[in-house]
Amino acid sequence: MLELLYRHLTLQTVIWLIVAFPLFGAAANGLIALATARDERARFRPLVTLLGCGAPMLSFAAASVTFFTLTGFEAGSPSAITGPLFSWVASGALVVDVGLNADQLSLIMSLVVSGVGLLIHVYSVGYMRHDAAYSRYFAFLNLFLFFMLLLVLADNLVLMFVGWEGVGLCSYLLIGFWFEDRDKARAGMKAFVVNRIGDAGFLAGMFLIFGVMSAAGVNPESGFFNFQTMERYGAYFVPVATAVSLLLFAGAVGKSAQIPLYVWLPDAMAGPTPVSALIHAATMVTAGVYMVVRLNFIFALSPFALHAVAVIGASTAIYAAVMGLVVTDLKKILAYSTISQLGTMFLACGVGAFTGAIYHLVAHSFFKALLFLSAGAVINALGGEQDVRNMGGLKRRMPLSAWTFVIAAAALAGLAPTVGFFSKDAILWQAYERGNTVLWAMGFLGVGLTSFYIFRAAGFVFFGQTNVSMERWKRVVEAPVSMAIPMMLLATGTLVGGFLGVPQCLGGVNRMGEWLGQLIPYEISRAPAPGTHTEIILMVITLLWSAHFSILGLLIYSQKRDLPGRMAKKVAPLHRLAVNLFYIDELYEKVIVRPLTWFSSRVLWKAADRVAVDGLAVGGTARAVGFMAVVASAAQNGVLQRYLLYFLVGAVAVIAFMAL
Amino acid sequence: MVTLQHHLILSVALFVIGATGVVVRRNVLVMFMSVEIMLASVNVALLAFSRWTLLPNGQALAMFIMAVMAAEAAVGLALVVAFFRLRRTVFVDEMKLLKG
Amino acid sequence: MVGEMQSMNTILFYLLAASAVFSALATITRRSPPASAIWLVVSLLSVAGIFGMLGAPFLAALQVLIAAGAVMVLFLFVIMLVDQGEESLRPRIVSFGRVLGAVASGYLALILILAIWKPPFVEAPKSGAAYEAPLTLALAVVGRYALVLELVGVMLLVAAVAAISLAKRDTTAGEG
Repeated sequence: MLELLYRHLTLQTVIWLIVAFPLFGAAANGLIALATARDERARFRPLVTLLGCGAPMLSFAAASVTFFTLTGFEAGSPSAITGPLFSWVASGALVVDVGLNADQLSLIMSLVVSGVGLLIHVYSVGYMRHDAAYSRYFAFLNLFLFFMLLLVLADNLVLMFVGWEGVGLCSYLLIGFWFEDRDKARAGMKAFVVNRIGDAGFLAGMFLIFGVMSAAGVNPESGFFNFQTMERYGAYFVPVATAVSLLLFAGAVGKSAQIPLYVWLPDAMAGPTPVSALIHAATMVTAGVYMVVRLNFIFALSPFALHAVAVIGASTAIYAAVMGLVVTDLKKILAYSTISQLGTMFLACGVGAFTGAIYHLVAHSFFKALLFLSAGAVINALGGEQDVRNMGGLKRRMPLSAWTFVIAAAALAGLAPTVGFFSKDAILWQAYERGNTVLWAMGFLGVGLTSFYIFRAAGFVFFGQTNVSMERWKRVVEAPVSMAIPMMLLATGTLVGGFLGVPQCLGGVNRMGEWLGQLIPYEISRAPAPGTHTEIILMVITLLWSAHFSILGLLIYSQKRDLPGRMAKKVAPLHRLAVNLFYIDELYEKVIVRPLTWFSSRVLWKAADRVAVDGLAVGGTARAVGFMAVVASAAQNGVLQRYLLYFLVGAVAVIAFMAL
Repeated sequence: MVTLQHHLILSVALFVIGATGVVVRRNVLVMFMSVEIMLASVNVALLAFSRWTLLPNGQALAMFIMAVMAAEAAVGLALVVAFFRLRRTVFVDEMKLLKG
Repeated sequence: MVGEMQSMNTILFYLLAASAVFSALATITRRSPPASAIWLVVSLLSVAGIFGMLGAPFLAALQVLIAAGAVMVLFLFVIMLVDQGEESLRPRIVSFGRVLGAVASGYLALILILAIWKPPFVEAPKSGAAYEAPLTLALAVVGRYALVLELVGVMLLVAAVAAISLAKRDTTAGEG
């Protein structure tokens, strides 16, 4: 019996299972959610929990099995392709099959997604325990996992785009989870719409790819959008490389919240904290980075595009870090932090350090998720309070959350020996060597700002005097087990993960870099020589720099909280500008949103839709028919004699026709 | 000499007169009478053909037509009477219950 | 003698034909319905004569009895029953429909006459007493057209029942 199962359980099937389990979980939970929509009782909760957490667990198991079957981290490991499951589109030159590809990049991504996803699902059991829409939540979360795994495992660009759109949808559903609150619902809409703008660029890029491939005479059967096909015929992309890269990157700008399409991410904090942890820290927003790394061969053909990517990434990193200095909502601080770190990842891609970007992506998933989960524990304990000025000194009551937060903050700041230290270092080193000094300087500045703002947050929340009211203080308890265990696991990962990528200069093997690097010939060909001294010097400088600002930030915001206020008064106009987020939202509102709404309302709705379509086309047709009916019915006046006349005339006509 | 065509012309003339009466007159009873004229004209044609082919078929048919004529007159007049009781009119212009 | 007979036939035909047509015209042009009825009787009688000339004396008799007799008497009863006075009490409306009807009829006549008045023009073939005898007709009716005979019988019964029920005054209270 087991043997039968074993025989059918090929590696191909296992890879499909990675994606299939969350889909099944989503469907099952969705049905339960629909069935219990009006039922307030929590009868099905245990089942939902089982399904909702079981799905990611099985998915992670499948991913692990695949990973170990493909010999883990050893260099030279093969990748597995499932081949097409079924043919999706076969119309002329557009041939798209549904198939999965499990190479190093996909595997590491799916491990991270399913692993961190699993931990967050477990955390959600505790966090959402009092919520009425428990099953709906898990349905959406599982659905998200399905789409994200589809995105990273897809073997062609179109299927990846399906996952891309799907995670956008789930993001909307989960941000606006408590949709009875208008603001939260609006935040969900904002996320989706801004994403869409980026997606328009993505689609345009895809159209261009199609054009290039068909013009080059590539055999359509092999699938124009298949990654392997595209890489094989990469030479054809040369004339359009810049355009394609920039257009696709536009999609990444939207999805990964870079300038100018970052505005949705801070507002996305309206969703439940586990959602923020999973989607807006660890997984969805990293899809843009994944896409750029996946298509590195196209970007590699256009130095201009790469440079643009790096510049945008670095600028965003600094800009968002500045925001992190002035914002007072705990989750928003973390949101801007995410934007900033994504910028760093794009900086890495831009200078050609693709493996570094992925390494930082993995590291960031761990510690950012941990930051959010700890923040969630705090917010939960304080009954929904999110303003850091109303917190303080919580270390005394929530030591576990405090420690996990600090560990994660240290990783974010890049302090040794956390994984953040190694990943950030790799990026800065590559930026210095491959890129130019300006980019390195921007990254360096970003590191300083990052250390400062994250320990600012830590200081505000956990240390120093407390601003929490007495009654609340008494009710503050540490996180329950379901929430604490994932946090501890993530903390452990943050601490030991560094050993995956210890650079050679320190005597390590840099397993991560070597393993992934096989996929990216561009990176290998331009790798800087393992320069020992420069790297170590930079490492030390960076460590001192970030340590200094970390301590400074912690001290100021735990002991001397009035100091920043006094300093802010000295640069009041600048400070006000920053606090109001540089009025970017208002700018967008005025320049883009309002004209668009006016146009849609006045022109398209009133003129085109009401007059032309409703009045003329639809109503006009009805009126014309009615009119003709009135005309025709005039012949039916009910007087039989008139009908007999019609008979006579008709008969005359027929007889005339026949007789003459 | 009198030929078949003469009789047929007679039939046509009577038929057309009857048709005109049906379409032109307002009194429903006069309309009915015009129908009688038309039926008579048909009989003339039938009998003429029967005479010229020396087959009795035309005569038989004419006889049946006369039976039909009688039945139709009975039922039609009953209808006129019934409608008259309803609307007190015999003018077709006013019999517009089927209008529309 | 034969020639005289022939010319007698011709004169008689034209006489009867003219009578029939003239009285038919009169029927449809009188203003008072009773007058129309009388003229119709004249027309039908003329037609009966034509029938006789066409070697169908039985049918001529039937025409007189049934059409000019029973049917017209019934007509007169009903006319008197629904007497609304002369039609001239109400203005005669010359409407488009009526003009069109007249024109159409005229056109019809024209077409048919043109179609009919074609050679060969032959005289009636010699018929013997066999043709003119009612026996021939009777044999045809009960022989060849037996089914039709039965059906016509049923139809007459149905018509009688229908006429009675249609014209019956509603004397039962409360029934629609």
